[in-house]
Amino acid sequence: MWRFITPEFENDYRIVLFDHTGSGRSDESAYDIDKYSSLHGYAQDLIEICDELNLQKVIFIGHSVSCMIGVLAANRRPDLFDKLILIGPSPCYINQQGYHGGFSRKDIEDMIDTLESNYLGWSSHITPVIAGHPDKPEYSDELNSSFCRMNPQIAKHFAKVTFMGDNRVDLALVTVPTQIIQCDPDMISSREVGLFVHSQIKNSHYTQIEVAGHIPHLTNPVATIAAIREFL
Amino acid sequence: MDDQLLEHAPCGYLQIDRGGEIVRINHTLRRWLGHQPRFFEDLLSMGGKIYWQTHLMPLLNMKEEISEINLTMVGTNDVSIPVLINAKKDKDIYSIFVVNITQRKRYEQELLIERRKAEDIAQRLKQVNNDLEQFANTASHDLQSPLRTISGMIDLIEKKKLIKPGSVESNLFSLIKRNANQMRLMVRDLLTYSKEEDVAPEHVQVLIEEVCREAIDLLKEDVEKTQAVFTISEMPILIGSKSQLVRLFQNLFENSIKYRSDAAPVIVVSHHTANDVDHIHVKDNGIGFEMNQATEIFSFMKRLHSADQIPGTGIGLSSCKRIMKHHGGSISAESVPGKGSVFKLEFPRLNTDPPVSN
Repeated sequence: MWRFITPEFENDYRIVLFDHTGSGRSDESAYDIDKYSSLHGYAQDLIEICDELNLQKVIFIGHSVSCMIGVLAANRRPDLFDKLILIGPSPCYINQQGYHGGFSRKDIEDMIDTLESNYLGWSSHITPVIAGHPDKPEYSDELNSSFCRMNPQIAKHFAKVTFMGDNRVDLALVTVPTQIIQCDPDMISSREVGLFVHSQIKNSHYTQIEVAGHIPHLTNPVATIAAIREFL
Repeated sequence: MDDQLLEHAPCGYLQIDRGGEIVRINHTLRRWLGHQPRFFEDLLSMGGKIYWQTHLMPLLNMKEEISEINLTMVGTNDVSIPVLINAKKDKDIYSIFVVNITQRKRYEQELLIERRKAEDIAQRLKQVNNDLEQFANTASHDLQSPLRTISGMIDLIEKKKLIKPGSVESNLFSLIKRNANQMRLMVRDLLTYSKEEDVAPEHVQVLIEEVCREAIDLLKEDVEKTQAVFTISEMPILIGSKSQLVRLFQNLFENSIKYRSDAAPVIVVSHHTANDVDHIHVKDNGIGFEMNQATEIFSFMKRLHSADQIPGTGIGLSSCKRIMKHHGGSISAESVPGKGSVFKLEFPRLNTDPPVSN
C-alpha cells in the first residue's frame, strides 16, 4: 500500500507499517466482531502499537478510513502524536441532514452486495483470483499482507463499519496539528467532505492535489510525497 | 494488437488512465451501454463505483492484474448489465476486458436462492429433529414416574391379596397388570433409544468377547430362568463404542431368549473375517420368522407378534440397526420358521479413521 511513499522518508524517519486486525498478515484469531464494530477498536490497537514500541512524537499518516482511526487515537492519547496526516479522510460517508457525505444508505448497501458477489458469491470458496507475479517476487509479499487477503466475512463487516459510521463529532476534539490531503476529483471522499474535515479540525492544514481518484499514494506518489513534505 | 480486431470483438474492451479517465473504448461496449462517459467509474453502478475505488483500484495498482471481478455496468435508458471484468495495468494505462454475463448471473441468482432455501430447510429439519429427540426423552422420562406408581400399586394389591382369585376382578386385574408391564417396557426402550445420540460417540478398541459377557450379565435373570446356553467362539477386537456394542448384543440375546421355542435357548456367537470385513453371527434355536419379514423386523416399533403373545416394543432391533450404522456397518437376519434365526453383523475394518456417522 505504501511502497511508493516509504523510500522517500526512510532515511529521516523510523517507519512503522501495520495491518489492521482482520486484514493482511494480522492474526485473524484476534478479530473480535464486537471490538471491531466501531473504529474505536482499531484506535485502541493503534495506541497499543505506539505504547508497545515505545513510540514518541508519532507522525501518523492514514488513508481513507484509517484517517478517522488516527483521529480517535489522537483524541484519546494526544501525548503520543506530533502530527496527523490524513489522506482522503471522511468522517461520515452517508448523507445526513445538512451534511453531504456523498452516498445514500442504498448506495452503500449496493456496494456491500457488489463486495459480496465478489467475495462470497454463491460459492463460499470464490475470492477474487489473485494472479502470481513471477517476474516481481517482491510484490507477492506485499500482496499477501494486503487487504485483498481478507476473510470475506471480516471484509463485509469491515465495509459496513467503515461506510455506515459517523465520527463527525470527533473532529472538533482534535488538538494535534493535522493536515488534510484532498484529491480532486475523489468520488469516495469528495472535496466538499475534505473541506468539512478542514473546517471542523481547528488550525488544520488543507492541501488539495490535482489527482483523480481515492488512492493518490498508489496512482500519483510524486504528488502525494510533495503534499506530505509540505507539512513536515 | 490490431485495433480493428478489438473494435467489434464479441466482448467489451477499454483502456483508462490512472485517474480513471477513458482513453479508448471499443464499439461493442459503446453499443451495449449506449454512451461513452469521461470516466470509467461512470459506467458502473453506485455500489460498483465505490467498490472500484476502494478495493479494485488499490488491488490493480498493487498487483497490476485482477480477474473475474463481477460488477454491474449501467448505460443509457436504464440499461444494466452484469459483467465480469479482467484488468491489467501496463505503466499508466489500465486495460479492461468486459464479458456480459446476464444469463450466467440470472442462473447464479437462482442457485443462490435455492441454496438459501436448502440451508433454511436443513436448519429447520435439524431443529425439528432436536425437538423430537428432546420430546421422546422428556415424554418417556415423564411417563416413567406415574407408571412406577401404578406398578407399585399393582404389587401392593397383589401382596395384600385384595383380589379374590378366580373372580371377575381378578381377570380385569391381570389385564391391567399385563398392560402396565407392557407400557413399562415400552417407556424403558423409548428412553434408551432416545438417548442413543445420532452422532457416533468416541470410538475406542473394544474386546467383543468382553462385550458379550457384559451383555449376558445384564440378562442374568432371563438367562437363569430359561436356562439359556451361550457358545462364544474367539471374538475380534473392534473399533467402536463399548456401551453401544453392549446394548447391541444385549438386544440380540434378549430377542433370542424372548422368541425361544419350547427347548431351552442355545445361542451361538461366531466370527470370521472376509474382504476386510469382520462378520459376527448370532445364531439361535428360537421360533424364527418368515424370510419375507427379514427387513421389516428392523423397522422402528415394528413387531411380528402382538404384545399379548410375546411382550416387546419393536425398538430393540431398530436400535441395533442404528448402532451398526454408527459403526459404519450393517445388520441383517436369516431365518426358517421353527428352526431358529441368524443375525449377521458386518463391521468393515477401519484403516485409521473412526467411522463417519450420518
